[in-house]
Amino acid sequence: MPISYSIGAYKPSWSEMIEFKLKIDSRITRAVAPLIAKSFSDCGKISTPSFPYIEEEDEDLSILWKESLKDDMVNDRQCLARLLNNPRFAHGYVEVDIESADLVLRAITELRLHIRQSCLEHFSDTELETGEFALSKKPKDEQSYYLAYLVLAEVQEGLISQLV
Amino acid sequence: MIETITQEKTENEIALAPTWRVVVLNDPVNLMNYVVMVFKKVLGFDETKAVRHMREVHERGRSVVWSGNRERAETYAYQLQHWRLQTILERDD
Repeated sequence: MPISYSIGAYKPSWSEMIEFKLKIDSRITRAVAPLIAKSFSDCGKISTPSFPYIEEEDEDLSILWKESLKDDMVNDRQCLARLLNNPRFAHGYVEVDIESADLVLRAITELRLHIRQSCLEHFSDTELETGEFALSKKPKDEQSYYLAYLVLAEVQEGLISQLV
Repeated sequence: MIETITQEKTENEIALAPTWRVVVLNDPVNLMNYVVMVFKKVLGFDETKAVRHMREVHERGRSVVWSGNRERAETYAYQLQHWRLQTILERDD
């Protein structure tokens, strides 16, 4: 698991919403927002649960298990879509209905898993966990995806800090 | 007599029912505080226990977070997988 990332100050606008500004230069969030949107779109097309049920003979139950997870993931993605479609997100502002926070957190995890598996092939697990590597030595496109990966982690940090 | 036999049979079945372990595996993506939060939400762990299991996952690659009957093990495993934690079920033979 990677190290934690710090988060900016929390300013609730009203009780039903979680709202904060990412502690990241807004030029970075503006630059990676389209990349996050693209990854989100790709993730929705190809992502399916890869989790096993139990390695045994009950194939029907195994299919049911995966289909059910898949349906739940659709609900999660819809909530994340609302966040990403908010024009303020590209400027570093995160606004999430508190009732949707869990769903957004899960969808971001799925998206980060997708980015890790599909777009960061020159990064080792250890590098992602520790953050100890020279970013400039990575391929250009992967540098951008890594920043997107970090921005999403920061969103999660901010949400978690409000939920616990 | 019938009641006694039925009761003995049920007790034997319960005694023979295998235990299932819910095991969370390490992954390089999930944040530490995310994993702690999920353990608290899904399994009802307090902060200390959640952190202990999170560290075990991180350092040893896996942690048995619950064990018991199959039905509850499946419920926990499903919920943890829904939170995208790499979770498997193991039969304790």
